[in-house]
Amino acid sequence: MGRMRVLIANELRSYREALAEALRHLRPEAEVVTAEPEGLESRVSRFAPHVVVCDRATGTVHALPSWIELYPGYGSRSVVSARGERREVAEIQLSDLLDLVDQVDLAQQS
Amino acid sequence: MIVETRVAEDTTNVLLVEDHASFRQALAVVFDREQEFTVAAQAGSISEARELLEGIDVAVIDLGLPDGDGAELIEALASVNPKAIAMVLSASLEPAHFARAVEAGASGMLHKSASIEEIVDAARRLRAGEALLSPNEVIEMLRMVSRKRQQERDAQISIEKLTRREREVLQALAGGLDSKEIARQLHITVETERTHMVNILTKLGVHSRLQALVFAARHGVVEIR
Repeated sequence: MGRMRVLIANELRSYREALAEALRHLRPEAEVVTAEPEGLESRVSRFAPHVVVCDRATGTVHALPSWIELYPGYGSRSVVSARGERREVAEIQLSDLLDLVDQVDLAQQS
Repeated sequence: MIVETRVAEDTTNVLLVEDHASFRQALAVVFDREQEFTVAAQAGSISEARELLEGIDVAVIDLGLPDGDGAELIEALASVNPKAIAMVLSASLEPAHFARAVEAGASGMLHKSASIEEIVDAARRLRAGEALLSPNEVIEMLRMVSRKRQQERDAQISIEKLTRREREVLQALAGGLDSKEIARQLHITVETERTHMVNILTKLGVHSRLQALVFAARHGVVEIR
């Protein structure tokens, strides 16, 4: 059973770095990496993340069960796909990201 | 959403004002991990932040907030807590937007494409009394604000010169009507419509119907439905 792998690929560098840093601190057992949006597709193939966080979910991301499209178009809404179930979230919190990581981690362990 | 205020005595108290809550909360984790900083409070809007300005040493403020321009909050901070430092962290690429923040009293500004290391370092440097902007940059930004204000005043003067009929012609133009259709709608001849249009172009200082429409829409003379 490997570590949880989380890929963060938001366009704004401060967003992806702050989220990655917070996740590394709050979920030290997870392996968190960042990528620029241009490198998202190749990073998904190489890193095989359990969760992807980005602001423009591509077809490759949509094909994964768990991801968050965070503030697409720099709006206030986000889309969360939790193990294949999608929902729109009006004002997503950091705790929502952590919940998704925890859910996926739990499912992976069982 | 206001997070509890916890002003510390021996560290730099930071206020984070940002409507993207997950980013703000992540940034709070980043600042809290630095020994010299304590995130004393967080807010997602100007109205929330107004209640949290006392005891703050550094406020990191987004400009595009749901209830207005972050520059308003920078002014409020300077008035309530003059020793506090305002640092802008914005996704805006509009120089006038940053210039307005400098005029309001911002000491530094960063684009959200900056790294978190740059953001924390900027807060640290500002707190240590360093300047992030050179005097020339500040002067240029203040000049920009002044130029923009003058342009707005000039536009207002031009608009005031328009007659009621000319405003009706512009509104019809905004409705997507061509010359003949405008004339029909306003019960005037096409020649009269053209005379009105020439007068409008002269008064607004523009050269085409399209430019007149853009000017009118930008300054609220017409509504585009």
